[in-house]
Amino acid sequence: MTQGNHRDLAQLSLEFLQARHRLMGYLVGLLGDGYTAEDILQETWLRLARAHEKGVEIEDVIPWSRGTARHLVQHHWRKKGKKHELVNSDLLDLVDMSFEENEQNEIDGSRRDALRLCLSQLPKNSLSLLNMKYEEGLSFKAIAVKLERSPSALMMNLSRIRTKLGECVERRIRFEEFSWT
Amino acid sequence: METWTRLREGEDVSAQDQDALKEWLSSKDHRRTFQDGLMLEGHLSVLLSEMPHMTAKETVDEPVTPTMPRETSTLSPTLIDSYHFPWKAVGSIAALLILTFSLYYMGELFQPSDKEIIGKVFAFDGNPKVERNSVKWPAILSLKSRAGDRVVTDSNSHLELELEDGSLLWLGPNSSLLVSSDFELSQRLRLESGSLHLEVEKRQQPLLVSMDTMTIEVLGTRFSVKHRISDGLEQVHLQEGRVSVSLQEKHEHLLEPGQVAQLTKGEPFSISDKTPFKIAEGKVLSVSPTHLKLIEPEGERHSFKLPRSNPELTHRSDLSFKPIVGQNLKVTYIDGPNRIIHLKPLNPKNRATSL
Repeated sequence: MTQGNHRDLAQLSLEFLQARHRLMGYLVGLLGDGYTAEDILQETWLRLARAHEKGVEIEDVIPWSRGTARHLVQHHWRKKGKKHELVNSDLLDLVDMSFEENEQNEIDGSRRDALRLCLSQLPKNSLSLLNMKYEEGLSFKAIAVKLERSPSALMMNLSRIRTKLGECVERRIRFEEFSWT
Repeated sequence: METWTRLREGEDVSAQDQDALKEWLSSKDHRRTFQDGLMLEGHLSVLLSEMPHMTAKETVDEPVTPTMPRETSTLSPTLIDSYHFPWKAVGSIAALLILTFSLYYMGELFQPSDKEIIGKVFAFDGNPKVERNSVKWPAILSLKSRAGDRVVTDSNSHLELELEDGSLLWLGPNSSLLVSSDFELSQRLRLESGSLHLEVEKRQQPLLVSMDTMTIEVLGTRFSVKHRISDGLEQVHLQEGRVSVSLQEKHEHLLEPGQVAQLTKGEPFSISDKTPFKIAEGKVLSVSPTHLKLIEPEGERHSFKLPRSNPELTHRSDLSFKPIVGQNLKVTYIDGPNRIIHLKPLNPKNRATSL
């Protein structure tokens, strides 16, 4: 019997919660939409609980959850009706590979704090754009209509905001590295 | 990333662009960069959902002033209409007082001034103060710091200032910094006491940082300064680039990265390499600071916990960690922030290394 069967649902749930940020990174990366990503993350946990109930051996929660999440994302794309280029693309395998190879590449607590601080210091309009994209899950086309801008200009704008955030986080981390002792 | 963004939005992307993305992702390094970007998006999504919700009222092009704490308050019509209730009258008076104070405060701090703007408050912890015209005001975000201001922190506060040229200044706890006027075409900061860390953008005119005796001339670099009143310690630790240090504005000394220039009462001026810990290649030994808690090779998960009482660190076979020269180590302090330190050869004869 493998270790998987010995673990109870509470233990699996804890591991799932600990991997929440990583899984959200994967899902938001695939979907570009935090709202749907959150839904799929919850559905993934439900599937995990059901699988455990049925006695399925889950040795490693993260790859299992990522695999399930990927199927759910593909299902979501199919359900939307429109032919989605990524549904059967081998690019998805490359994305999976990037997560498998960098399993330990998790933004640690200090980076998350730095990101939180940098976010809080963004101008309102930048924060608003990030919210529309990552929290409300609007497509660039929908945001473009709302703001009367072109989708490509918004895409570039968002890319600039992400770069600025990345620089801000690095700057904060460098400050954190400085010891006062 | 743009091709990926368009793909996941369900847009039609040419086979050529898709192939180019596949080609790019065939490199392990690129996959790492790609995953970094996706993880950032994931964290953004989680953090944004934790922040107070914002509605998209502003257009993206419209410049928006960074959020300021609500210092001014307005009287609501309801409050004025119901003046005949005594408790509300008290409320009205209090609100008026707050309004008056706020206006005075804002007026004092934001009044037009011919004094040069040095930078703005970027972030702070605790309750740092900005002293202007002999009055101490609590620091607020985006407050413009002008020549002549004195920034003061207590033991529980720090303050970050972004200078006009994008340089960054981090004032540590228990510190006092005087931002002086621009004379001789140089900006001058005077660290009266405490500690200061700076990341100075490359500049034409030098930035001068002075203490009682030492003056540091900077043209773009990263360094830390400490000024302790009790024993007259004045110290400069250069992390990157070059700075020159002079005593009483004479005897100029050039510092190399990693060097510390120090002056204490009763002791001669010295320049030394900062070697706070020693480490042997293949083994980890003699970690001297007692506040060191955890040390790990960058990119690996192994970690070592060090008790305060016994900071000696020995190689643990179960963690199969062998530090090698050139390796970066992440060090976490019990009382302080993380640091990434680079292992450098210390003594080629016995192959010991320093951190």
